[in-house]
Amino acid sequence: METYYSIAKSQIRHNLWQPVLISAVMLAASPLVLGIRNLSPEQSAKVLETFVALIGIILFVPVFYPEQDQSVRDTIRARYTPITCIYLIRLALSLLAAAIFLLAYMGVMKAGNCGMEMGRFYFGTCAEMLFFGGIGIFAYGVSDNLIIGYMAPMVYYAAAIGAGAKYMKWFYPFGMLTDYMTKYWILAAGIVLGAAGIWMRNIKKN
Amino acid sequence: MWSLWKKECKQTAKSLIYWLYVICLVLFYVSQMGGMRGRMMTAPKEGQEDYRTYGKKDTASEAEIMDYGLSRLVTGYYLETFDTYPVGYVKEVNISEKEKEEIGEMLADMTGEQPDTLDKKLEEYMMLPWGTEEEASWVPAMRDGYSYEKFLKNMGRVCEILGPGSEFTEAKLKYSARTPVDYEGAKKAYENLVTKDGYTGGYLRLFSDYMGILMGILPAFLITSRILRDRRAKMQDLIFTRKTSSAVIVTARCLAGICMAILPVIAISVMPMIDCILFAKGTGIRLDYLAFLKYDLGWLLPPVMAVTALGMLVTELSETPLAILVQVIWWFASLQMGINGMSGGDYGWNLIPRHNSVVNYGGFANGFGQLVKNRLLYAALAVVLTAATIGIYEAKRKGHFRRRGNILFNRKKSDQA
Amino acid sequence: MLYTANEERVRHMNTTVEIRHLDKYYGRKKALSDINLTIPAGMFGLLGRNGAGKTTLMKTLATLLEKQKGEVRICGIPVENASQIRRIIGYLPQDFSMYPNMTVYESMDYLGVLSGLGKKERQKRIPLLLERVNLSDAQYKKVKTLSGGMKRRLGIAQAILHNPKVLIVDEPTAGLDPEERVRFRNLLCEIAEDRIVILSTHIVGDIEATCENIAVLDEGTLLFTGTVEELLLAVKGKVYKAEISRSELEKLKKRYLVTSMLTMGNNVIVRFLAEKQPFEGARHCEADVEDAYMYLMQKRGGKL
Repeated sequence: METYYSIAKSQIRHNLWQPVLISAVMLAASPLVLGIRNLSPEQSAKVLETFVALIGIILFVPVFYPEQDQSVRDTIRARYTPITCIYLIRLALSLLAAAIFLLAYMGVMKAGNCGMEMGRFYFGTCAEMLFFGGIGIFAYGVSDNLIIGYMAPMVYYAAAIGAGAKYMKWFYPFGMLTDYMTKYWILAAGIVLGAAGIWMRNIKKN
Repeated sequence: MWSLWKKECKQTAKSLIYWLYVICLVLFYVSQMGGMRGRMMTAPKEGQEDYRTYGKKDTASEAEIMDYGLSRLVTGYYLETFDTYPVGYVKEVNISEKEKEEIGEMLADMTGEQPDTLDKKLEEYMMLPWGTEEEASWVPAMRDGYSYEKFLKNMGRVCEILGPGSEFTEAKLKYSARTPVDYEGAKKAYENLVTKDGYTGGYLRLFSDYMGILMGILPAFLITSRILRDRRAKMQDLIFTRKTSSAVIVTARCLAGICMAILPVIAISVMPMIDCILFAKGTGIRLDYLAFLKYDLGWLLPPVMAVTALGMLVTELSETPLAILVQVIWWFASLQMGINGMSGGDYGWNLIPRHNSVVNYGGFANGFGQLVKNRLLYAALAVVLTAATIGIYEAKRKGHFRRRGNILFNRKKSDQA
Repeated sequence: MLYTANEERVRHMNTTVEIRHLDKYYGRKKALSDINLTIPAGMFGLLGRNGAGKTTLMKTLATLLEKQKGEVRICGIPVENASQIRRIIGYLPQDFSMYPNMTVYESMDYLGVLSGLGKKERQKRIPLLLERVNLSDAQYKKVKTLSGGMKRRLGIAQAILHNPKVLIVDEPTAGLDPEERVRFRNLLCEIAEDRIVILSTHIVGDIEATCENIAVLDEGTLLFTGTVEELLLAVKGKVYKAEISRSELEKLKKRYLVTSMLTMGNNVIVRFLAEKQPFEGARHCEADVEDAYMYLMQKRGGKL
């Protein structure tokens, strides 16, 4: 247990503070350009789904990056603690950060009199964050290229805005008010893709 | 320099991310314009239901503008809140008691109603179910013979109250108040398409509208990946000590990035050309066979240049994927700002000018001057950013900005040296 | 605590590495072919050209790569039990690096955590190890500011942090200056006192100075295993020295394997290998490991 705690502490200090900081700045600066007061449920959902959920990409995708250098990776892999354990701790911390950020942001929105069902919207946005994160982790794990890891979810996002629910059906990420079932589907997909990404990363050992 | 450029191009062509880029372009094209072949624009027939596909009238009459402006103002007045779009996402502006009173007086003046009766009538009107407005006993309408200048003055005051991004500027009102063309207008639109646009022009304009969306973001991924890969391979020092000048290295890389990014776009742009050629067979339409080059190079190349150059600069400076975040923000803002001008003509200084229509040659012609200035701006920006990158690169070569720490962060204190 | 109980067990383990019929492929390419080795306690040298398969073998022992065929046991534990193995081995990769923004102490601490060491344990051992590799003064420096030699020393320190029974060191002295190289070798010798240290290198001098047992690897196969003495036996009496004119040099090179040349004006002093006395004026020389290695490379595939 102490091991996991120490790893987590080290991760926060050295690796995670950057994505966390960027997400925080992004969210904090947003009221300057978006309105987050007195929004209708549709408008609230739009803000959450097309803007806030993007921090999922920022927080989850760089999971493999600190060990990008092969020699660092080998040093870490030769240790007793499996490297997958480190990845999972990182993702858990990212999830915690994402959950807290979302809660805070929705709190501000609610205080600004936005009309939304807190529980539903919270779960729906979390699912979406994990979905985009999962796509990115998978792309990164398979290609060994962080940029591709960022590009894949962004392209999916752009495609969703362009092509829409028609083509994506169950995996349409913006279905908060139109078809809430999609949220369960994308949550599952995000978790599966993320796990697959980690698995692929470990297989490609050299 | 050209051999370096060639090598860079080859390297890019061998990378996975490049082919993912190409796939994205192809898929996007197919999904947006893939089905055009069977539905090409033909001449309008008299007595059609509506001529919406032929676009909107070039401008609205003063009466139409005033009617439209009034209806929007009335809605906002009733709800006590207005939607503004300073950067594209909706920002609600609530009006204070005093402001509501002021607007109420404006409305009273324009409709000819007394302020208190106006409120009651509005209440009734707003509560009507959808679609029954026209049968209502009272509809908010402009007083006969109301002066346009006075109307504009009122609108001006509303803009002041609401702040930036409101819909009540004269330009915006004009734009939004336009109605779809009638048969005469449709005929004119089709004629423009065939004569002025050479038929292909309209389709390539639509192509540029769609592809512009991708050009505003994807090249950033390409160039960032390319530069960071250099660092992964720890090539920096090897390159730094060669005799090639920084200017040559940076320019060759930038040019290669731009060329490789625009090349598949040009290739794909042949598709709408083919669609047009097939359609025009036997119709006697004189096609503009160079349309694809004009639009690829004139409309789409400048954002590719600017995005690539910016990506290069930010990546060289930060040595992290930060350029992607920067570009995503710029891309978002550009897309959102373009939403209100989708049918074209309103190009402004947007990185991604919109013209989501095969017609509206009029808007295009009107906005052409601005469009040219816009495109030149981004091309010039690309040159400036590249020059800045050369400066940074040279500085790094000489040992400044080195994050390896030896120079900047590992200074011995004088008593330890 | 995880370690004190284990240390007892570890001390009673038989300290050998056993490799039987090891095959390793990279796709179609056979990187290691039928490797058979028994490595006892002490310094063991693995010599070979670049690309011979040394790193592949090291990584396979370190459980970083999977073998396709054969058996590998480290102190009796099969290499498939990766987590158990990783407790008793320490690995120093060829291009060792750590997270650039961590300080030396933080890196050691983090790697210690990953090896399952408790806080008290780390607080005790890390300063001692840093002292031993002469990095105490640099402990608050960030990894990215370290010189090559310092990084390597950090590498060694982290590899022995958890007191492993087997230390696997991949080309540790490549790129170090002569002084650092000597210090490194001495350090490794100290460490090898009751452990196995497997050292891979293409610098013959490293082997000569430190190892008793060696193996020579070429293109994935073992050309030789045994002691240094045994290796030298192969070339005993076959090493000659002669002074010849520069014009004769080319002819000599064609007939014999030249292991070193020293130009003195118009003449060259050559050192070369020959089966028997080649010509007048050539004198016998004491064979060294480099000669033996070159001889072996020339014979290639010939078993002794």
